[in-house]
Amino acid sequence: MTIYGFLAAIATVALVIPGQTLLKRGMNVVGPIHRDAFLRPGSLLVAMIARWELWVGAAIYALSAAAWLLALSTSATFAYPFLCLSYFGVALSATVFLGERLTPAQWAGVLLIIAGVAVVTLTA
Amino acid sequence: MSGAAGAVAAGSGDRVVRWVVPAYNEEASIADLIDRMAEVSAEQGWRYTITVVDDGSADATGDIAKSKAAEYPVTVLRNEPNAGLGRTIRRGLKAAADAAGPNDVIVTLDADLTQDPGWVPSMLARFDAGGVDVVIASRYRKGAAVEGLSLFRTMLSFGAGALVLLVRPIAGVRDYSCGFRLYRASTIAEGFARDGDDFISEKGFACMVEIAERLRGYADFAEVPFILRYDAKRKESAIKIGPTIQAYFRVISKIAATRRKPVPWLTLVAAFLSVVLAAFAQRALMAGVAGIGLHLSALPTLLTALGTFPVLTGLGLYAVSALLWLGVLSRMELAVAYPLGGTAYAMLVVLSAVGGAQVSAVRWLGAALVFTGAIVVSYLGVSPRKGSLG
Repeated sequence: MTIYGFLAAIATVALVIPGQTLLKRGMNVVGPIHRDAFLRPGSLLVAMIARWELWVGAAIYALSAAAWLLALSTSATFAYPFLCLSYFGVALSATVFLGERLTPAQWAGVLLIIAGVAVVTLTA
Repeated sequence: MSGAAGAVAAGSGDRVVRWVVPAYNEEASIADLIDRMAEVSAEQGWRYTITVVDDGSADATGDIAKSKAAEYPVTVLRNEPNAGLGRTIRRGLKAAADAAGPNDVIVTLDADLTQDPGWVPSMLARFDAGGVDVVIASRYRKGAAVEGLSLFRTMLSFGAGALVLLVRPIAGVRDYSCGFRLYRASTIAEGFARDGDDFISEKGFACMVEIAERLRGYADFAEVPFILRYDAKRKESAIKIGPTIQAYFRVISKIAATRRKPVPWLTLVAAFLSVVLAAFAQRALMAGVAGIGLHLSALPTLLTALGTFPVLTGLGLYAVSALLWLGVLSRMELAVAYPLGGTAYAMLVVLSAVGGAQVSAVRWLGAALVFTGAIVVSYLGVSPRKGSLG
């Protein structure tokens, strides 16, 4: 493990949370994409291109993906626990900034996923 | 006048407290219970009616209750033959709700003296404090107690309630099965208007859980503590624990199935696919840049590597994955969709097992945790839409 790997893992989480939140915010404005939307891809494309959140979100997403690769290439076993943090962080961010709501049972479900991913990735 | 509307005892205000008592072979208790309801009502200065629904009792329950009509505003309805608690409480609630004015409340309680009418003033006080439509006398609030119930039965009862709490909690409710409740009469009337006789379709004790479930999203609940006096019972209890717990689950799954949002299968599959594609993209990119150091001097090599097949494949897969993900986000909450990505890691475990690899018990456990969590997040834990059916 190097200091790069550590920083990259932290950067991944720090980027994933705002990145996903912005992408979701942008798609909330664009609205749900149903099957018939693909019949008129032009208008869908225009609607998406018009959202600054999607541009910024996509850029941050690309950076987070790069940071994730860096983290994986230096220390995979160390990087995965941070991935678990991001599940919780993204869910929390969505409730705080996007007005989404999870029931207590759903939060428990998120924790189960985190625990499960931690077990699976750490015993790989 | 006839039916449960009957006479109304004098009192102040335009509210009538409508007591509804389902009774089956309660000749030992029913007279004292009616006296007690009348006593409490008079003390509080309530206008009130008492409806006893005699569920085809083989004893003198009905006759004793009828004899009380000379003293108090008692109406007796009789099921012939015995139809079970669900039908009995339904008949009583329906009669009371049909006769009720806009400010009336309905109080249900057991006929066996285990639930003392003396607790109703505190229930009504909570109701009048505002913001709620149903007040439950609860065994699970500070100050509550259960007297005279064996530890085993107490634990069974608590366990059943805890299961409901875990699977389908309702805000404000801890005691789902207790039948000692105060309802806004119009809330009950609306329930019957909405669901018809299905408002209470369970025949047994589970009808109490069913009523709470049916009112979920339409009514606000609160609880006040009370002391359940099993020691005041004058005959052996008839409740069968096993079938009752089974019935609880039947109620929950039945109602949950009709009211929960439909599972967005297509979106779930797309989310899963997006995460798996991203994982493959990672593999390809890692392979493409393998062996290249992370120093500035390596930058030219890195840039050259960008044009190679694995890297281009990786970037392409990433792009497809990202587009799929945007489609998922357009149709699903981020807080649900993102953690669901964890299923990809669990799937890797399953795939490696399918591929013939030895998978340790711990890894299976991890995968099981992920899948369980995913089901809870995407389906089981989802609260039903407020104010809509189907």
